[in-house]
Amino acid sequence: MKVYTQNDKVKIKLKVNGEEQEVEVEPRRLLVHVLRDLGYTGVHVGCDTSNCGACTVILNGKSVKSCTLLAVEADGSEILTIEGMAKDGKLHPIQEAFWEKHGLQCGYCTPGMILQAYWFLKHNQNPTEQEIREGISGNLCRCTGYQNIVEAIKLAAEKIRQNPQEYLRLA
Amino acid sequence: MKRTDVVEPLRGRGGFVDDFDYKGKYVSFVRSPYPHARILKIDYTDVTRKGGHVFTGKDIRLSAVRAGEREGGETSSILARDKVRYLGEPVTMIVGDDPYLLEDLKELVVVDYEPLEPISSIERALKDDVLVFENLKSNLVLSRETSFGSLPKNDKQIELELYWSRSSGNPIEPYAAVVIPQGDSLKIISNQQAPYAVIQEVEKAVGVKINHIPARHGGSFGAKFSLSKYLTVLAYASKKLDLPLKWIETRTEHLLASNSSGPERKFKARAYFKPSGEVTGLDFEIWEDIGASTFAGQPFKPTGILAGPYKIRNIRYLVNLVATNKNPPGAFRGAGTPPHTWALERVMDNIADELGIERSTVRKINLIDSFPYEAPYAVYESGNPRKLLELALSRNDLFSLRNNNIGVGIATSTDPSTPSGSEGVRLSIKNGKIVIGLGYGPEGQGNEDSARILVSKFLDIPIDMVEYQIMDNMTAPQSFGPGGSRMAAFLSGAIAGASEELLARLRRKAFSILGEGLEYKSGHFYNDRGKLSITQLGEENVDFIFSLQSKTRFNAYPFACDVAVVRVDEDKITPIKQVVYIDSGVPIDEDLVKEQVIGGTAIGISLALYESYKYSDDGYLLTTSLADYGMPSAADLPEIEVNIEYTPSTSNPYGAKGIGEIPVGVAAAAVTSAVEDVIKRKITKIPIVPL
Ligand code: FES
Ligand code: FES
Repeated sequence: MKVYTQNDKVKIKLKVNGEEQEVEVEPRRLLVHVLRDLGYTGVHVGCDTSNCGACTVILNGKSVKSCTLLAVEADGSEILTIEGMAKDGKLHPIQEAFWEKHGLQCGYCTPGMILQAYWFLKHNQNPTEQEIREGISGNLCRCTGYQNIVEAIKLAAEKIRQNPQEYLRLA
Repeated sequence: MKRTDVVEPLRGRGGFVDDFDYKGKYVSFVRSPYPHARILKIDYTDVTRKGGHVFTGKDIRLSAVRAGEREGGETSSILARDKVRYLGEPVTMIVGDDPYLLEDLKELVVVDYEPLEPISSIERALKDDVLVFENLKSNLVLSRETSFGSLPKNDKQIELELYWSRSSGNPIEPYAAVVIPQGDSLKIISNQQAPYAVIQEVEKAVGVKINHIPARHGGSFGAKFSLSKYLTVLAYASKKLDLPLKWIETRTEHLLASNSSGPERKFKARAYFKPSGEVTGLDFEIWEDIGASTFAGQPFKPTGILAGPYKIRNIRYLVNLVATNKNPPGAFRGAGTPPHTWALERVMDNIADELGIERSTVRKINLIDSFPYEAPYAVYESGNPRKLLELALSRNDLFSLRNNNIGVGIATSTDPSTPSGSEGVRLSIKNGKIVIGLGYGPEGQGNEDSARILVSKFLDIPIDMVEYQIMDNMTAPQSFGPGGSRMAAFLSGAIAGASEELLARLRRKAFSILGEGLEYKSGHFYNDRGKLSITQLGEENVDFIFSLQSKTRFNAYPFACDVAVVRVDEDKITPIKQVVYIDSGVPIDEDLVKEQVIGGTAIGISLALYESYKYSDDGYLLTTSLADYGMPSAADLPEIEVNIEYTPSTSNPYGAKGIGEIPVGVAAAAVTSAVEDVIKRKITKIPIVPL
């Protein structure tokens, strides 16, 4: 294990939404803040106790709360954020489904919720309602009562089933 | 209808405060580690030596401002002077280069405290041996009685002691503000609720002109009214230092010290009734735990719905405000009415049980059955709550689920959705587009799309021709924005007025081209000489302010009836399904009504079962994370079904009523009743403790 002192600056490399990024960071800086500094401001912060999931991103194929990692721990990793979901301006089917089913009100939990849904649907394309509810239970939403989010994820599953290779290859 | 205002947030480009480009300093607060203590000395020389700037409560001089009438938020300083009165109360404000470095600087502030005995309950406070505010001489800071008719003391009576726990909006985005000096004035970008109105107060308090840019909110639910106390000190410091400042609240700070919690209320609720089940009088005495503050609006909002949807005319409502060492309240969805609705429904259930009749029967007997109904305290202009109840009772699919573990409960309610006041809009024609300008930061309810729909209806044009724009406080004619559930009524009124004025102006222009005999249809003026689209008549800007004042403070009463189905196992209560029948007035958009009703219902269920700020006996907040607080996840909430069954309101040109808040109390009441249905024991407190 490498030991850093507080004034060290560490150079790290990240591949975010396919874009290579190289940054110098303070060792104690959280991944979520580094991503936001890099301009990926769709990664939100809703708490400081790893409860809300607003900061959820896909890191090396896994859904993670980016506020629970130091940026230095993510050195060399591939990351998908909400900004990488739409392709050529066209919304990803999960985003479309959230739009069609009113799966967001204020939109603050939405990027994290959509990425969590992405990861969840990657592992289960025929989910039951209960599985969806449990699958997103690490992501909090205060506006929707979750109902329309659950409906959106059901619809997204339907859309994804039509072309899973295409829609699930982002990360 | 699909919402246009959510497309950018869907792409991760919501435009929240923290997303704006920013260069400048950051702010953080050193907060009290004690719930109650005297501040003896603050030593921050080490911070200054390292280049940080520090402000204490004594450094900040603000003018006194009288806030306008609203339930949440005051415009005063957030920083303590002399004494701290709740855990997490800000003691110093530190300005530094970066939020991480600020954490280091904060460690260098040394505060000497003399801890005092903390007051963490109403009972303890009423002993008055330790005072939260010495100058007030008592922790009972105000008692105020409202009464109508005379209580029929010879009738049968019941008395209930009830308790509604402290909870709050907890929007997923916390408070956020950026303040930038611009010559003699300041520019502020923030998620302040009711920004146009509140910024005027901040300007007065700090003595500076402010240009406020309302950012999109990551939810508010009343909480963000209370940002104002932070804005004043940020504005003060930015002006003093002539530096741009940015502050983003953390969740822990929000839970501890956002000054935004909902009501915490103890009731002694007495009701008088006839053997038939007719309720003849209500005598409510309440004690509101208002934390470390000297006034709160939330206990008084129930004066707009004292007897709820029922025909009860003899009423006494006695409010006692009790100061304690807790985070002061602000406003939370319903701003004080959900506990009242819940308590009224407890009363109805208990009367039914006492008389041995169906709980629905007591409601049938007492529900208002003719409209408009002039209650002693308000006028309910339209409604049909009996119809809502009948529809609910017709749900055999739900009632047939009842068994040893599954309970079904019902509840009915109304809410004072629309406080009197005004709202301004600007309706413009620009580059062939119709633009509706609004003066507040979108909070997520979709009012911006409601505005587009209303413009399209009043101008008789396709909705795609209409865009919305958020105006800063220099441009907006006037605004309050969402608060109460006022936007349906106020946008209807403002947009009807603006549309009428716009069409009158355009008609004059069209007349000068086409002459006499003009007709108007689908966005065109026409006569036998030709046809002109409203977008062909040059640019226009119409400012219109809609005002609504009535005899009593509130207008546009919605009604609701809920059926809750819950499963009760040994140590766990699971909500299974909640069905809502709602009189929303004429819905501007059914999807938006349903979004609001589902969201509000979810909160009501959650308040009944999960959420609560808990304090230890010695005044420490025990629930310092969202998990401890009981914020529900998708797995904790049931399917919610919403059915709209409306009567048009007469308070505004569209016939809309506000429905953002009514779902909360009635949902909590129905869930409580459903749990009782299984456990056959009286519930007197929420959240309901697992058995
Ligand atoms: S910001 Fe809340 S879990 Fe990461
Ligand atoms: S949409 Fe507002 S928090 Fe989920």
